[in-house]
Amino acid sequence: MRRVLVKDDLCIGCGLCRVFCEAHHAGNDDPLKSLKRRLSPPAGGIRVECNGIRSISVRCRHCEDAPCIQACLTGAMYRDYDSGLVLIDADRCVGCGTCTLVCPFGAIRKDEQTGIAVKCDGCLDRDMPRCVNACPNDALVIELKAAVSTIATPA
Amino acid sequence: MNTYEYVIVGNSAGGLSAAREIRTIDQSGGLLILSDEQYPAYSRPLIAKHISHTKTIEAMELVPREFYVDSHMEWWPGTRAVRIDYPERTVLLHDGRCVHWNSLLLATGSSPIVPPIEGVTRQGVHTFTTYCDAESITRQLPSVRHVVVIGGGFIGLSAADALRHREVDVTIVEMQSRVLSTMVDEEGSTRIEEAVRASGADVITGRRVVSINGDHPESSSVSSVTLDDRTRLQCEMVILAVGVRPRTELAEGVVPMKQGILVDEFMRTATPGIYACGDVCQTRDFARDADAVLPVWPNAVAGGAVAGATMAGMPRSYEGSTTMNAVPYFGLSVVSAGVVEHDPALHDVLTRRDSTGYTKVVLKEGVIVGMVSVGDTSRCGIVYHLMKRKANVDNWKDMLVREDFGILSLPDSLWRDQLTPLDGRLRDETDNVANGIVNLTTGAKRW
Repeated sequence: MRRVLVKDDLCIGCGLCRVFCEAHHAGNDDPLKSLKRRLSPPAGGIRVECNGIRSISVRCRHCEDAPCIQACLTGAMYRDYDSGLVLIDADRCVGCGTCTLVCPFGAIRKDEQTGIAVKCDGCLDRDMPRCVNACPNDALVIELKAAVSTIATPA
Repeated sequence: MNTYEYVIVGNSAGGLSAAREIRTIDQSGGLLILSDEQYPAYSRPLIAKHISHTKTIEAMELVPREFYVDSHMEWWPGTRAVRIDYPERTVLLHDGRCVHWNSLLLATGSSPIVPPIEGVTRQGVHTFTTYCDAESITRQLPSVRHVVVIGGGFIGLSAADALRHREVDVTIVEMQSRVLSTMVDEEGSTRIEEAVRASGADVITGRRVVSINGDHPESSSVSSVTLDDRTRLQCEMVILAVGVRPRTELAEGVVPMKQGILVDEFMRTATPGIYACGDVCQTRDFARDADAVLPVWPNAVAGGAVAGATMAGMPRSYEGSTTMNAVPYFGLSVVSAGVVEHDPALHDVLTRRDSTGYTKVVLKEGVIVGMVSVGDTSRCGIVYHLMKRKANVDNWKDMLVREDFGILSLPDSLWRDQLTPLDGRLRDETDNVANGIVNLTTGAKRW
């Protein structure tokens, strides 16, 4: 399993992780092209918090005992066997928001345009998650770990 | 007579969750799931999509049809348990068959309340909790122009929202002075009622339906309803959504119950070998510090997992739950948990309003006991988590409703260890190995 962790003492709150995450998920790696003329930001999985001199980049941690999977009313939130990540089946999600209510990190939100839940998908289409490549201060690292074991999950 | 190590009565959120948990611990003990419905476990909240988007049962199923076989479980669809014999430890089924069990889980859920209104048995009167209900509503829809939904709770709103998608005229009749009165506070109700009306549906509050009428003496079909102020509403369909009650019939005389079946923190009833979870039982409400029936899906899943673990011999305790709801209807995002109607003598209340929504947090003696959020609900999970942990937030409570509220608003002690347990140890090689971390690495820089 591969997930992104943050060294909060190195995070400078620049927000590049969020910008590049949103750009990448909007379909173009160049933020200027992806984000141009949009009134609201495209769906991304990162929130950057700044509080005084401290800052932290927050995203889904793909918890082993994921409360969002337990709480999901429709089976849309699921554990992907191959990657070990917690992912969302967009066809099943009805955007009720129960997952947002139980996520201790506030890492899931409802996308205004589509009305369904969005969160970090781990950039499975890339060798390295986009945010990690974008962090100028090496505050974001990937953790590689043997996949968590779970029993059969809905398709 | 067949003997099973585990028999689970009920094949929805709680039953399925328990069966899965049992199979993670015990892969071979005989396991039988009894279901009075014909379908594999499916998502009940999705049934509204059958009406609004003609989704079929396949799109709602929580497990693939091969799941039961692949997990070495027997699943008997269309089978109703009618009687438990104890101490013989058997269950009698509707077709006369009888099965013997070592441990039995009652995950029978709840059934819709059918209020004693005159004419309630007429054709065109439906409840709305199963896929079958959704199917019969959809079948009747082509001949329907106006629907009266009795009850403005979660199920009533879900039905009304789905029917608006089919462009049917909908009137919600709510007995209380506002809709969703158990789930949100007054301001939340007002916002929801506004959204319902904006969608073209009508809401009548503070009124009861006293009779469901038919025009033709020879036909039993619905043609109107009469309210307690004698208003008559034309309609060809009525949906009953006044609430649900635990389906405890099977357990009567076998296990002790109050409003629901009584269970301890391991989901055991007082009768050895019998367990219960989900809508049918009464569990700890951590926000109100009282026992209550908490009929919401996530609680059934969590309780089912605890029951399954206990049945399979690895008991762990249920952390308790509270009322929690999320309403995705009529274009709104509303979530709530715990106490929503505060008592000024007991509670402290923090609120924030802006153009798109509002947030309210209810505290009792410095501990969060409830919340309502309308609009941007993404960070309410942080508040819910504090509520669950009963963290004392008195010293910094004003942060909870600030626009920039987040993890960093919390004192270090509340998030560094608890919320991000691994991050603090990133630089310790021994710990990394102990946690099974193979590699930590940063990426090549690309902008």
